[in-house]
Amino acid sequence: MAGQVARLETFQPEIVAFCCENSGYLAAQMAIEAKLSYPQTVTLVKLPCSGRVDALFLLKALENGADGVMVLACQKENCKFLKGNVRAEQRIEATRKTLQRIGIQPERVAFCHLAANMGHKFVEEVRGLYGKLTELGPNPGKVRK
Amino acid sequence: MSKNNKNSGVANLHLESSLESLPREEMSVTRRVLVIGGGIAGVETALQCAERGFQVTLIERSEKLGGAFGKLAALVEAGENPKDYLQSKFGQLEKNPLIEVLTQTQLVDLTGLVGNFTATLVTGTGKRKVKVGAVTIAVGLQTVFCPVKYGLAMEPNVLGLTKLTGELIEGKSFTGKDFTFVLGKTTENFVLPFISALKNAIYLKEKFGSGVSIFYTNMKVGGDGLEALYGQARNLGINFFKISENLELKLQNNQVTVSFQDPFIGNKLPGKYQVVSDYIVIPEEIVPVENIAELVEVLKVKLDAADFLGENNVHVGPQFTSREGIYVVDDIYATSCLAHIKQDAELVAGEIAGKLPAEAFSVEGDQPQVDAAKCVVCLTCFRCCPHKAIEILHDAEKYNNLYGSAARMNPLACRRCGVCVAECPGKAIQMPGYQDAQVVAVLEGLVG
Ligand code: SF4
Ligand code: SF4
Repeated sequence: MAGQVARLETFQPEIVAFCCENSGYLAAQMAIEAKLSYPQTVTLVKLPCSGRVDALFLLKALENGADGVMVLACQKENCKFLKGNVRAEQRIEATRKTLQRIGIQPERVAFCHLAANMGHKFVEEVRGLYGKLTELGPNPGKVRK
Repeated sequence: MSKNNKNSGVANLHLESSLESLPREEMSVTRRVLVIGGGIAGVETALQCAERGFQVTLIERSEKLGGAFGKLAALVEAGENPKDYLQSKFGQLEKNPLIEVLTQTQLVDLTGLVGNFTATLVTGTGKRKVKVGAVTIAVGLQTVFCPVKYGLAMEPNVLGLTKLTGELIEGKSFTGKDFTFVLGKTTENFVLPFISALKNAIYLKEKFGSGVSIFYTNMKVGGDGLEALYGQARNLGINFFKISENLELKLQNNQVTVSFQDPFIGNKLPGKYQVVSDYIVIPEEIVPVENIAELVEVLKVKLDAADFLGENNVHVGPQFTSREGIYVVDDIYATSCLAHIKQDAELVAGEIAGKLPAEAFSVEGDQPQVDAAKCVVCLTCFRCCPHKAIEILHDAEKYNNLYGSAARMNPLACRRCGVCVAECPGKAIQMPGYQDAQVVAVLEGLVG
Protein backbone atom coordinates (compact mmCIF):
# COMPACT_ATOMS: atom_id res chain seq x y z
CA MET A 1 0.00 0.00 0.00
CA ALA A 2 2.65 2.44 1.07
CA GLY A 3 4.62 1.72 -2.07
CA GLN A 4 1.63 2.47 -4.25
CA VAL A 5 0.96 5.76 -2.58
CA ALA A 6 4.56 6.73 -3.05
CA ARG A 7 4.32 5.84 -6.72
CA LEU A 8 1.20 7.90 -7.21
CA GLU A 9 2.89 10.87 -5.65
CA THR A 10 5.93 10.78 -7.85
CA PHE A 11 4.33 9.76 -11.10
CA GLN A 12 3.41 12.78 -13.20
CA PRO A 13 1.91 11.67 -16.48
CA GLU A 14 3.26 13.38 -19.58
CA ILE A 15 0.60 14.40 -22.08
CA VAL A 16 0.90 15.57 -25.68
CA ALA A 17 -2.12 17.56 -26.87
CA PHE A 18 -2.56 17.93 -30.60
CA CYS A 19 -4.52 21.13 -31.04
CA CYS A 20 -6.48 22.41 -33.96
CA GLU A 21 -5.34 26.00 -34.39
CA ASN A 22 -8.94 27.17 -34.83
CA SER A 23 -10.23 25.89 -31.51
CA GLY A 24 -8.12 23.74 -29.17
CA TYR A 25 -5.01 25.87 -29.46
CA LEU A 26 -6.93 29.09 -28.84
CA ALA A 27 -8.77 27.52 -25.89
CA ALA A 28 -5.42 26.53 -24.38
CA GLN A 29 -4.09 30.06 -24.88
CA MET A 30 -7.18 31.36 -23.16
CA ALA A 31 -6.68 29.04 -20.20
CA ILE A 32 -3.09 30.25 -19.91
CA GLU A 33 -4.07 33.91 -20.09
CA ALA A 34 -6.81 33.41 -17.50
CA LYS A 35 -4.21 31.65 -15.31
CA LEU A 36 -6.42 28.59 -14.90
CA SER A 37 -4.45 25.88 -13.22
CA TYR A 38 -3.91 22.54 -14.91
CA PRO A 39 -1.17 19.90 -14.93
CA GLN A 40 2.14 21.27 -16.12
CA THR A 41 3.18 18.23 -18.05
CA VAL A 42 1.13 19.00 -21.13
CA THR A 43 2.84 19.74 -24.41
CA LEU A 44 0.80 21.50 -27.07
CA VAL A 45 1.35 20.76 -30.72
CA LYS A 46 -0.48 23.13 -33.04
CA LEU A 47 -1.85 21.81 -36.32
CA PRO A 48 -3.95 23.51 -39.01
CA CYS A 49 -6.91 21.20 -38.33
CA SER A 50 -7.60 18.19 -36.16
CA GLY A 51 -7.92 16.43 -39.52
CA ARG A 52 -4.14 16.71 -39.92
CA VAL A 53 -3.57 14.51 -36.86
CA ASP A 54 -1.97 11.42 -38.26
CA ALA A 55 -2.17 8.07 -36.47
CA LEU A 56 1.59 8.23 -36.81
CA PHE A 57 1.76 11.30 -34.57
CA LEU A 58 -0.22 9.66 -31.79
CA LEU A 59 1.94 6.54 -31.87
CA LYS A 60 5.18 8.50 -32.12
CA ALA A 61 4.22 10.60 -29.11
CA LEU A 62 3.47 7.49 -27.05
CA GLU A 63 6.66 5.83 -28.24
CA ASN A 64 8.69 8.89 -27.34
CA GLY A 65 7.72 9.23 -23.74
CA ALA A 66 4.13 10.48 -23.51
CA ASP A 67 1.85 8.61 -21.12
CA GLY A 68 -1.23 9.84 -22.92
CA VAL A 69 -2.17 11.87 -25.96
CA MET A 70 -5.18 14.00 -26.73
CA VAL A 71 -6.68 15.63 -29.78
CA LEU A 72 -8.58 18.87 -29.39
CA ALA A 73 -10.96 19.49 -32.28
CA CYS A 74 -13.68 21.97 -33.19
CA GLN A 75 -17.29 21.46 -32.15
CA LYS A 76 -19.33 19.04 -34.21
CA GLU A 77 -20.65 20.56 -37.45
CA ASN A 78 -18.32 23.47 -36.85
CA CYS A 79 -15.01 22.37 -38.31
CA LYS A 80 -13.49 25.14 -40.40
CA PHE A 81 -12.79 22.45 -42.97
CA LEU A 82 -16.19 20.83 -42.47
CA LYS A 83 -15.08 17.24 -42.00
CA GLY A 84 -11.65 17.46 -40.38
CA ASN A 85 -12.97 16.74 -36.90
CA VAL A 86 -15.01 13.79 -38.14
CA ARG A 87 -11.98 12.32 -39.89
CA ALA A 88 -9.84 12.87 -36.80
CA GLU A 89 -12.32 11.10 -34.55
CA GLN A 90 -12.45 8.08 -36.85
CA ARG A 91 -8.69 7.94 -37.03
CA ILE A 92 -8.42 8.10 -33.25
CA GLU A 93 -10.86 5.24 -32.90
CA ALA A 94 -8.67 3.22 -35.26
CA THR A 95 -5.54 4.14 -33.30
CA ARG A 96 -7.17 3.04 -30.04
CA LYS A 97 -7.83 -0.35 -31.60
CA THR A 98 -4.23 -0.65 -32.72
CA LEU A 99 -3.07 0.17 -29.21
CA GLN A 100 -5.41 -2.38 -27.69
CA ARG A 101 -3.98 -5.07 -29.96
CA ILE A 102 -0.46 -4.37 -28.81
CA GLY A 103 -1.42 -4.25 -25.16
CA ILE A 104 -1.57 -0.54 -24.45
CA GLN A 105 -4.69 0.84 -22.82
CA PRO A 106 -6.76 2.66 -25.46
CA GLU A 107 -7.89 5.17 -22.82
CA ARG A 108 -4.49 6.79 -23.20
CA VAL A 109 -5.85 8.49 -26.29
CA ALA A 110 -8.43 11.19 -25.58
CA PHE A 111 -10.49 13.21 -28.02
CA CYS A 112 -12.68 16.20 -27.38
CA HIS A 113 -14.70 18.81 -29.20
CA LEU A 114 -14.40 22.39 -28.00
CA ALA A 115 -14.58 25.97 -29.21
CA ALA A 116 -11.92 28.69 -29.17
CA ASN A 117 -13.55 30.41 -26.18
CA MET A 118 -13.65 27.34 -23.94
CA GLY A 119 -10.52 27.62 -21.84
CA HIS A 120 -12.31 25.93 -18.94
CA LYS A 121 -13.16 22.92 -21.11
CA PHE A 122 -9.52 22.61 -22.12
CA VAL A 123 -8.54 22.52 -18.46
CA GLU A 124 -11.29 20.04 -17.64
CA GLU A 125 -10.24 17.69 -20.41
CA VAL A 126 -6.55 17.88 -19.53
CA ARG A 127 -7.30 17.21 -15.86
CA GLY A 128 -9.59 14.36 -16.86
CA LEU A 129 -6.92 12.62 -18.89
CA TYR A 130 -4.27 13.41 -16.27
CA GLY A 131 -6.41 11.77 -13.58
CA LYS A 132 -7.03 8.73 -15.74
CA LEU A 133 -3.33 8.36 -16.57
CA THR A 134 -2.42 8.69 -12.92
CA GLU A 135 -4.62 5.67 -12.27
CA LEU A 136 -3.30 3.74 -15.26
CA GLY A 137 0.30 4.39 -14.35
CA PRO A 138 3.18 4.97 -16.77
CA ASN A 139 2.74 4.08 -20.41
CA PRO A 140 4.18 0.60 -20.93
CA GLY A 141 4.73 1.33 -24.60
CA LYS A 142 7.45 3.91 -24.21
CA VAL A 143 10.42 2.96 -26.30
CA ARG A 144 12.47 5.86 -25.05
CA LYS A 145 11.95 6.25 -21.33
CA MET B 1 10.12 16.84 -21.11
CA SER B 2 12.86 19.27 -21.69
CA LYS B 3 10.80 21.89 -23.43
CA ASN B 4 8.33 22.39 -20.61
CA ASN B 5 7.97 25.85 -19.29
CA LYS B 6 7.11 25.00 -15.73
CA ASN B 7 6.16 28.56 -14.87
CA SER B 8 3.16 28.78 -17.12
CA GLY B 9 2.43 25.09 -16.94
CA VAL B 10 2.61 24.61 -20.66
CA ALA B 11 5.20 23.66 -23.17
CA ASN B 12 4.25 25.82 -26.04
CA LEU B 13 5.78 23.84 -28.77
CA HIS B 14 3.85 24.74 -31.83
CA LEU B 15 5.52 24.31 -35.17
CA GLU B 16 6.50 27.49 -36.88
CA SER B 17 5.68 27.11 -40.52
CA SER B 18 9.16 26.49 -41.71
CA LEU B 19 9.98 29.03 -44.29
CA GLU B 20 10.92 26.54 -46.91
CA SER B 21 11.00 28.32 -50.20
CA LEU B 22 7.89 27.16 -51.98
CA PRO B 23 7.68 26.88 -55.73
CA ARG B 24 5.18 29.19 -57.34
CA GLU B 25 2.61 27.62 -59.60
CA GLU B 26 1.34 29.11 -62.82
CA MET B 27 -2.44 29.16 -63.13
CA SER B 28 -4.56 29.89 -66.14
CA VAL B 29 -8.27 30.39 -65.56
CA THR B 30 -11.52 31.38 -67.26
CA ARG B 31 -12.83 34.72 -66.08
CA ARG B 32 -16.49 33.92 -66.56
CA VAL B 33 -19.01 33.47 -63.74
CA LEU B 34 -22.06 31.26 -63.91
CA VAL B 35 -24.90 32.76 -61.87
CA ILE B 36 -27.71 30.35 -61.06
CA GLY B 37 -31.04 32.07 -60.44
CA GLY B 38 -32.48 35.12 -62.12
CA GLY B 39 -34.14 36.69 -59.10
CA ILE B 40 -32.93 39.98 -57.72
CA ALA B 41 -29.98 38.26 -55.99
CA GLY B 42 -28.78 36.72 -59.26
CA VAL B 43 -29.27 39.96 -61.19
CA GLU B 44 -27.30 41.98 -58.63
CA THR B 45 -24.50 39.39 -58.62
CA ALA B 46 -24.27 39.34 -62.41
CA LEU B 47 -23.94 43.12 -62.52
CA GLN B 48 -21.37 43.17 -59.73
CA CYS B 49 -19.24 40.53 -61.45
CA ALA B 50 -19.44 42.31 -64.80
CA GLU B 51 -18.35 45.50 -63.10
CA ARG B 52 -15.17 43.70 -62.09
CA GLY B 53 -14.48 42.70 -65.68
CA PHE B 54 -15.90 39.17 -65.60
CA GLN B 55 -18.04 37.69 -68.30
CA VAL B 56 -21.27 36.35 -66.85
CA THR B 57 -23.75 33.66 -67.83
CA LEU B 58 -26.94 34.19 -65.85
CA ILE B 59 -29.35 31.27 -65.97
CA GLU B 60 -32.96 31.13 -64.80
CA ARG B 61 -35.25 28.12 -64.67
CA SER B 62 -38.48 29.94 -65.45
CA GLU B 63 -39.40 32.08 -68.44
CA LYS B 64 -38.51 35.39 -66.97
CA LEU B 65 -36.23 37.13 -64.56
CA GLY B 66 -37.30 38.87 -61.40
CA GLY B 67 -38.23 36.08 -59.02
CA ALA B 68 -40.29 36.89 -55.95
CA PHE B 69 -38.92 40.41 -55.64
CA GLY B 70 -41.28 41.96 -58.17
CA LYS B 71 -44.28 40.30 -56.63
CA LEU B 72 -43.61 40.58 -52.93
CA ALA B 73 -41.04 43.14 -52.15
CA ALA B 74 -43.22 46.24 -52.23
CA LEU B 75 -43.89 46.12 -48.53
CA VAL B 76 -40.69 44.49 -47.46
CA GLU B 77 -38.72 47.17 -49.25
CA ALA B 78 -40.66 50.26 -48.31
CA GLY B 79 -39.16 53.27 -49.99
CA GLU B 80 -38.25 51.51 -53.23
CA ASN B 81 -40.71 50.62 -55.91
CA PRO B 82 -39.56 47.09 -56.68
CA LYS B 83 -41.02 47.00 -60.19
CA ASP B 84 -39.20 50.17 -61.21
CA TYR B 85 -36.07 48.98 -59.50
CA LEU B 86 -36.18 45.69 -61.38
CA GLN B 87 -36.83 47.42 -64.69
CA SER B 88 -33.78 49.61 -64.26
CA LYS B 89 -31.70 46.54 -63.41
CA PHE B 90 -32.99 44.65 -66.45
CA GLY B 91 -32.00 47.65 -68.56
CA GLN B 92 -28.47 47.47 -67.16
CA LEU B 93 -28.30 43.74 -67.87
CA GLU B 94 -29.34 44.22 -71.47
CA LYS B 95 -26.86 46.99 -72.10
CA ASN B 96 -23.94 45.10 -70.62
CA PRO B 97 -22.03 43.23 -73.33
CA LEU B 98 -20.33 41.02 -70.73
CA ILE B 99 -23.58 39.47 -69.53
CA GLU B 100 -25.47 36.70 -71.27
CA VAL B 101 -28.94 35.87 -69.92
CA LEU B 102 -30.48 32.44 -70.50
CA THR B 103 -34.01 31.81 -69.29
CA GLN B 104 -35.64 28.37 -69.15
CA THR B 105 -32.16 27.03 -68.55
CA GLN B 106 -30.82 24.63 -65.97
CA LEU B 107 -27.41 23.42 -64.93
CA VAL B 108 -27.16 19.65 -65.27
CA ASP B 109 -23.45 18.98 -64.87
CA LEU B 110 -20.35 20.65 -63.55
CA THR B 111 -16.86 19.22 -63.87
CA GLY B 112 -13.43 20.62 -63.06
CA LEU B 113 -12.25 22.89 -60.29
CA VAL B 114 -12.34 26.58 -59.46
CA GLY B 115 -10.92 28.64 -62.29
CA ASN B 116 -11.65 25.91 -64.79
CA PHE B 117 -15.13 24.48 -64.39
CA THR B 118 -17.08 23.17 -67.37
CA ALA B 119 -20.81 23.62 -66.91
CA THR B 120 -23.38 21.75 -68.97
CA LEU B 121 -26.57 23.71 -69.42
CA VAL B 122 -29.88 22.52 -70.75
CA THR B 123 -31.71 25.29 -72.55
CA GLY B 124 -34.92 25.32 -74.57
CA THR B 125 -32.91 24.50 -77.66
CA GLY B 126 -30.68 21.76 -76.31
CA LYS B 127 -27.48 21.14 -74.38
CA ARG B 128 -24.62 23.52 -74.22
CA LYS B 129 -21.25 23.51 -72.50
CA VAL B 130 -19.75 26.66 -71.01
CA LYS B 131 -16.36 27.14 -69.42
CA VAL B 132 -16.60 29.14 -66.19
CA GLY B 133 -14.18 30.03 -63.43
CA ALA B 134 -16.70 30.38 -60.63
CA VAL B 135 -20.33 29.62 -59.84
CA THR B 136 -22.79 31.61 -57.75
CA ILE B 137 -25.95 30.11 -56.36
CA ALA B 138 -28.74 32.65 -56.02
CA VAL B 139 -31.81 30.45 -56.01
CA GLY B 140 -33.62 31.98 -53.05
CA LEU B 141 -36.18 30.04 -51.07
CA GLN B 142 -39.68 28.69 -51.18
CA THR B 143 -42.58 29.09 -48.80
CA VAL B 144 -45.20 26.51 -47.85
CA PHE B 145 -48.42 27.45 -46.12
CA CYS B 146 -49.20 25.02 -43.34
CA PRO B 147 -51.85 26.27 -40.84
CA VAL B 148 -52.21 22.78 -39.37
CA LYS B 149 -48.99 23.34 -37.48
CA TYR B 150 -50.80 26.13 -35.64
CA GLY B 151 -53.88 23.98 -35.12
CA LEU B 152 -55.79 26.01 -37.69
CA ALA B 153 -57.93 24.98 -40.64
CA MET B 154 -57.66 26.41 -44.16
CA GLU B 155 -60.16 29.24 -43.83
CA PRO B 156 -60.42 32.50 -45.77
CA ASN B 157 -59.49 34.49 -42.69
CA VAL B 158 -56.35 32.43 -42.02
CA LEU B 159 -53.60 34.05 -44.08
CA GLY B 160 -49.95 33.39 -44.70
CA LEU B 161 -47.56 36.33 -44.53
CA THR B 162 -46.65 36.32 -48.21
CA LYS B 163 -50.28 35.79 -49.20
CA LEU B 164 -51.22 38.89 -47.23
CA THR B 165 -48.34 40.82 -48.78
CA GLY B 166 -49.54 39.79 -52.23
CA GLU B 167 -53.11 40.86 -51.49
CA LEU B 168 -51.97 44.21 -50.15
CA ILE B 169 -49.89 44.82 -53.26
CA GLU B 170 -52.87 43.98 -55.45
CA GLY B 171 -54.73 46.68 -53.61
CA LYS B 172 -57.25 44.65 -51.61
CA SER B 173 -58.96 46.77 -48.96
CA PHE B 174 -59.01 45.73 -45.32
CA THR B 175 -60.70 48.84 -43.96
CA GLY B 176 -61.96 48.35 -40.42
CA LYS B 177 -60.56 44.83 -40.12
CA ASP B 178 -58.44 43.77 -37.18
CA PHE B 179 -55.45 41.47 -37.47
CA THR B 180 -53.57 39.05 -35.25
CA PHE B 181 -50.11 37.84 -36.22
CA VAL B 182 -48.56 34.79 -34.58
CA LEU B 183 -44.82 34.51 -35.09
CA GLY B 184 -42.04 32.24 -34.12
CA LYS B 185 -43.52 28.81 -33.72
CA THR B 186 -41.92 27.15 -36.71
CA THR B 187 -39.85 29.81 -38.41
CA GLU B 188 -37.87 31.21 -35.54
CA ASN B 189 -34.54 30.48 -37.20
CA PHE B 190 -35.34 32.96 -39.93
CA VAL B 191 -35.40 36.75 -39.78
CA LEU B 192 -37.48 37.28 -42.88
CA PRO B 193 -40.91 36.50 -41.32
CA PHE B 194 -40.34 39.04 -38.54
CA ILE B 195 -39.47 41.81 -40.96
CA SER B 196 -42.31 40.95 -43.26
CA ALA B 197 -44.81 40.84 -40.36
CA LEU B 198 -43.67 44.20 -39.00
CA LYS B 199 -43.90 45.85 -42.41
CA ASN B 200 -47.33 44.39 -43.10
CA ALA B 201 -48.56 45.39 -39.65
CA ILE B 202 -47.36 48.96 -40.09
CA TYR B 203 -48.93 49.15 -43.53
CA LEU B 204 -52.30 47.84 -42.24
CA LYS B 205 -52.26 50.25 -39.36
CA GLU B 206 -51.39 53.29 -41.45
CA LYS B 207 -53.53 52.55 -44.48
CA PHE B 208 -56.66 50.98 -42.98
CA GLY B 209 -56.44 51.91 -39.31
CA SER B 210 -56.57 48.22 -38.44
CA GLY B 211 -56.10 47.04 -34.90
CA VAL B 212 -53.01 44.83 -34.97
CA SER B 213 -51.70 42.43 -32.31
CA ILE B 214 -48.49 40.51 -32.75
CA PHE B 215 -47.83 37.41 -30.67
CA TYR B 216 -44.23 36.30 -30.63
CA THR B 217 -41.85 34.02 -28.77
CA ASN B 218 -38.73 36.03 -29.62
CA MET B 219 -38.64 39.15 -31.74
CA LYS B 220 -35.79 38.71 -34.17
CA VAL B 221 -34.87 42.01 -35.71
CA GLY B 222 -31.11 41.72 -36.09
CA GLY B 223 -29.99 43.73 -39.11
CA ASP B 224 -29.57 47.27 -40.33
CA GLY B 225 -32.60 49.43 -39.53
CA LEU B 226 -34.74 46.52 -38.42
CA GLU B 227 -34.84 47.41 -34.77
CA ALA B 228 -36.09 50.85 -35.76
CA LEU B 229 -38.89 49.11 -37.60
CA TYR B 230 -39.93 47.42 -34.38
CA GLY B 231 -39.83 50.77 -32.57
CA GLN B 232 -41.96 52.34 -35.29
CA ALA B 233 -44.55 49.57 -34.97
CA ARG B 234 -44.75 50.06 -31.20
CA ASN B 235 -45.11 53.82 -31.54
CA LEU B 236 -47.97 53.35 -33.96
CA GLY B 237 -49.87 51.43 -31.29
CA ILE B 238 -49.41 47.90 -32.57
CA ASN B 239 -49.74 45.53 -29.62
CA PHE B 240 -46.96 43.08 -28.93
CA PHE B 241 -47.53 40.05 -26.71
CA LYS B 242 -44.74 37.76 -25.70
CA ILE B 243 -46.05 34.25 -25.47
CA SER B 244 -44.80 31.01 -24.07
CA GLU B 245 -46.23 27.65 -25.05
CA ASN B 246 -49.91 27.92 -24.34
CA LEU B 247 -51.57 29.88 -27.03
CA GLU B 248 -55.11 28.80 -27.94
CA LEU B 249 -56.38 29.79 -31.35
CA LYS B 250 -60.09 29.48 -32.16
CA LEU B 251 -61.96 30.25 -35.38
CA GLN B 252 -65.63 31.07 -34.95
CA ASN B 253 -68.16 33.15 -36.95
CA ASN B 254 -65.47 34.64 -39.14
CA GLN B 255 -63.59 35.72 -36.08
CA VAL B 256 -60.37 34.59 -34.55
CA THR B 257 -59.99 34.39 -30.79
CA VAL B 258 -56.58 34.07 -29.23
CA SER B 259 -56.47 33.05 -25.57
CA PHE B 260 -53.15 33.30 -23.81
CA GLN B 261 -51.34 33.78 -20.55
CA ASP B 262 -49.01 36.71 -20.53
CA PRO B 263 -45.69 35.91 -18.85
CA PHE B 264 -45.20 39.57 -17.83
CA ILE B 265 -48.64 40.80 -16.73
CA GLY B 266 -49.39 37.32 -15.45
CA ASN B 267 -47.34 37.93 -12.30
CA LYS B 268 -49.54 40.80 -11.20
CA LEU B 269 -52.85 39.98 -12.84
CA PRO B 270 -52.93 36.24 -13.36
CA GLY B 271 -55.43 34.53 -15.62
CA LYS B 272 -56.20 34.16 -19.27
CA TYR B 273 -56.44 37.02 -21.70
CA GLN B 274 -58.25 37.09 -25.00
CA VAL B 275 -57.75 39.01 -28.22
CA VAL B 276 -60.41 38.88 -30.93
CA SER B 277 -59.72 39.85 -34.53
CA ASP B 278 -61.01 39.35 -38.08
CA TYR B 279 -57.90 37.80 -39.57
CA ILE B 280 -55.09 35.68 -38.30
CA VAL B 281 -51.76 35.80 -40.09
CA ILE B 282 -49.11 33.12 -39.66
CA PRO B 283 -45.74 32.80 -41.37
CA GLU B 284 -45.40 30.28 -44.15
CA GLU B 285 -42.76 27.62 -43.62
CA ILE B 286 -39.48 28.48 -45.28
CA VAL B 287 -37.99 25.63 -47.27
CA PRO B 288 -35.29 25.29 -49.91
CA VAL B 289 -36.33 25.49 -53.55
CA GLU B 290 -37.55 22.14 -54.82
CA ASN B 291 -34.63 21.27 -57.09
CA ILE B 292 -32.02 22.01 -54.45
CA ALA B 293 -31.05 18.36 -54.01
CA GLU B 294 -30.20 17.94 -57.70
CA LEU B 295 -28.37 21.23 -57.80
CA VAL B 296 -26.27 20.28 -54.80
CA GLU B 297 -25.44 16.94 -56.38
CA VAL B 298 -24.35 18.59 -59.61
CA LEU B 299 -22.22 21.14 -57.75
CA LYS B 300 -20.85 18.55 -55.29
CA VAL B 301 -21.26 20.93 -52.38
CA LYS B 302 -22.36 19.98 -48.91
CA LEU B 303 -25.62 21.19 -47.43
CA ASP B 304 -25.77 22.42 -43.87
CA ALA B 305 -27.37 20.28 -41.19
CA ALA B 306 -30.90 21.47 -41.93
CA ASP B 307 -30.52 20.94 -45.69
CA PHE B 308 -30.29 24.60 -46.45
CA LEU B 309 -27.70 26.04 -48.70
CA GLY B 310 -24.74 28.03 -47.41
CA GLU B 311 -22.51 27.08 -44.53
CA ASN B 312 -23.90 27.38 -41.03
CA ASN B 313 -20.53 27.31 -39.33
CA VAL B 314 -18.73 29.87 -37.16
CA HIS B 315 -15.56 29.56 -39.24
CA VAL B 316 -17.14 29.89 -42.67
CA GLY B 317 -19.38 32.71 -43.85
CA PRO B 318 -22.80 31.85 -45.28
CA GLN B 319 -21.66 33.10 -48.68
CA PHE B 320 -19.22 30.20 -48.91
CA THR B 321 -19.83 26.55 -49.66
CA SER B 322 -17.72 23.48 -49.05
CA ARG B 323 -15.92 24.14 -52.34
CA GLU B 324 -13.75 27.00 -53.51
CA GLY B 325 -15.22 28.87 -56.44
CA ILE B 326 -18.84 28.10 -55.57
CA TYR B 327 -20.65 30.79 -53.63
CA VAL B 328 -24.10 31.60 -52.29
CA VAL B 329 -25.77 34.99 -52.51
CA ASP B 330 -28.64 35.58 -50.10
CA ASP B 331 -28.70 32.26 -48.28
CA ILE B 332 -31.93 31.02 -46.83
CA TYR B 333 -31.27 32.36 -43.32
CA ALA B 334 -30.50 35.85 -44.57
CA THR B 335 -32.95 38.70 -44.18
CA SER B 336 -33.51 38.78 -47.95
CA CYS B 337 -33.78 42.56 -47.75
CA LEU B 338 -32.49 44.36 -50.81
CA ALA B 339 -29.69 45.97 -48.80
CA HIS B 340 -28.49 42.58 -47.64
CA ILE B 341 -28.71 41.05 -51.10
CA LYS B 342 -26.62 43.88 -52.53
CA GLN B 343 -24.03 43.40 -49.80
CA ASP B 344 -23.81 39.68 -50.46
CA ALA B 345 -23.54 40.19 -54.21
CA GLU B 346 -20.71 42.65 -53.72
CA LEU B 347 -18.91 40.39 -51.27
CA VAL B 348 -19.13 37.38 -53.56
CA ALA B 349 -18.08 39.32 -56.67
CA GLY B 350 -15.11 40.69 -54.70
CA GLU B 351 -14.22 37.18 -53.54
CA ILE B 352 -14.27 35.90 -57.12
CA ALA B 353 -12.17 38.83 -58.33
CA GLY B 354 -9.60 38.06 -55.63
CA LYS B 355 -9.59 34.37 -56.48
CA LEU B 356 -9.30 34.83 -60.24
CA PRO B 357 -7.39 38.12 -60.60
CA ALA B 358 -6.33 37.58 -64.21
CA GLU B 359 -6.45 34.98 -66.95
CA ALA B 360 -2.94 33.91 -66.03
CA PHE B 361 -1.23 34.47 -62.70
CA SER B 362 0.99 32.61 -60.28
CA VAL B 363 0.22 31.45 -56.74
CA GLU B 364 2.30 30.18 -53.86
CA GLY B 365 2.31 26.39 -53.95
CA ASP B 366 1.91 25.92 -50.21
CA GLN B 367 -0.78 23.25 -50.55
CA PRO B 368 0.09 19.61 -49.80
CA GLN B 369 2.35 18.00 -52.40
CA VAL B 370 2.27 14.43 -53.69
CA ASP B 371 5.37 12.36 -54.23
CA ALA B 372 4.29 10.61 -57.41
CA ALA B 373 6.73 7.76 -56.84
CA LYS B 374 4.75 6.81 -53.73
CA CYS B 375 1.24 7.48 -55.09
CA VAL B 376 -0.66 4.36 -56.12
CA VAL B 377 -3.71 6.32 -57.28
CA CYS B 378 -5.88 4.67 -54.65
CA LEU B 379 -8.20 7.70 -54.60
CA THR B 380 -8.33 7.81 -50.79
CA CYS B 381 -7.36 11.46 -50.73
CA PHE B 382 -9.65 12.23 -53.65
CA ARG B 383 -12.62 10.81 -51.76
CA CYS B 384 -11.92 12.23 -48.33
CA CYS B 385 -11.03 15.80 -49.25
CA PRO B 386 -13.86 17.82 -47.68
CA HIS B 387 -13.50 20.46 -50.36
CA LYS B 388 -13.28 18.27 -53.44
CA ALA B 389 -10.00 19.98 -54.25
CA ILE B 390 -8.07 16.99 -55.55
CA GLU B 391 -7.65 16.01 -59.18
CA ILE B 392 -5.99 12.94 -60.63
CA LEU B 393 -3.55 13.92 -63.34
CA HIS B 394 -2.16 11.64 -66.03
CA ASP B 395 1.25 12.24 -67.52
CA ALA B 396 3.39 9.21 -68.18
CA GLU B 397 6.47 11.37 -68.71
CA LYS B 398 6.15 13.33 -65.51
CA TYR B 399 4.92 10.71 -63.06
CA ASN B 400 7.47 8.02 -62.49
CA ASN B 401 5.12 5.33 -61.23
CA LEU B 402 3.35 2.32 -62.66
CA TYR B 403 0.27 4.32 -63.52
CA GLY B 404 1.80 7.40 -65.07
CA SER B 405 -0.69 9.26 -62.85
CA ALA B 406 -0.82 10.97 -59.50
CA ALA B 407 -3.15 12.87 -57.25
CA ARG B 408 -2.73 16.62 -57.14
CA MET B 409 -4.05 19.15 -54.65
CA ASN B 410 -5.16 22.09 -56.71
CA PRO B 411 -3.69 25.27 -55.21
CA LEU B 412 -6.83 27.33 -55.89
CA ALA B 413 -9.30 24.72 -54.64
CA CYS B 414 -7.39 23.44 -51.60
CA ARG B 415 -8.07 25.03 -48.21
CA ARG B 416 -5.00 23.48 -46.58
CA CYS B 417 -6.62 21.43 -43.85
CA GLY B 418 -4.29 18.46 -44.05
CA VAL B 419 -6.98 15.78 -44.08
CA CYS B 420 -5.63 14.17 -47.27
CA VAL B 421 -2.12 14.19 -45.83
CA ALA B 422 -3.17 12.25 -42.76
CA GLU B 423 -5.35 9.80 -44.72
CA CYS B 424 -2.97 8.79 -47.54
CA PRO B 425 -2.16 5.14 -46.85
CA GLY B 426 1.07 5.41 -48.82
CA LYS B 427 2.28 8.51 -46.96
CA ALA B 428 2.73 10.02 -50.40
CA ILE B 429 1.47 13.47 -49.41
CA GLN B 430 3.42 16.06 -47.45
CA MET B 431 2.18 19.42 -46.23
CA PRO B 432 4.59 22.37 -46.23
CA GLY B 433 5.15 23.59 -42.69
CA TYR B 434 3.63 20.43 -41.25
CA GLN B 435 5.71 17.68 -42.84
CA ASP B 436 5.55 14.33 -41.07
CA ALA B 437 9.28 14.59 -40.39
CA GLN B 438 8.90 18.01 -38.80
CA VAL B 439 6.13 16.92 -36.44
CA VAL B 440 7.86 13.67 -35.57
CA ALA B 441 11.09 15.56 -34.84
CA VAL B 442 9.18 17.63 -32.32
CA LEU B 443 7.70 14.51 -30.76
CA GLU B 444 11.10 12.90 -30.54
CA GLY B 445 12.33 15.93 -28.63
CA LEU B 446 9.89 15.09 -25.87
CA VAL B 447 12.25 12.98 -23.84
CA GLY B 448 14.23 15.12 -21.47
S1 SF4 C 1 -4.25 8.76 -51.01
FE1 SF4 C 1 -2.06 8.85 -51.46
S2 SF4 C 1 -1.66 7.07 -52.73
FE2 SF4 C 1 -3.87 7.35 -52.74
S3 SF4 C 1 -4.26 8.61 -54.54
FE3 SF4 C 1 -4.00 10.03 -52.83
S4 SF4 C 1 -1.81 10.56 -52.87
FE4 SF4 C 1 -2.06 8.73 -54.13
S1 SF4 D 1 -5.38 19.82 -47.60
FE1 SF4 D 1 -7.58 19.55 -47.25
S2 SF4 D 1 -8.55 20.84 -48.80
FE2 SF4 D 1 -6.44 20.58 -49.44
S3 SF4 D 1 -6.51 18.83 -50.81
FE3 SF4 D 1 -6.01 18.04 -48.79
S4 SF4 D 1 -7.96 17.45 -47.91
FE4 SF4 D 1 -8.41 18.78 -49.65
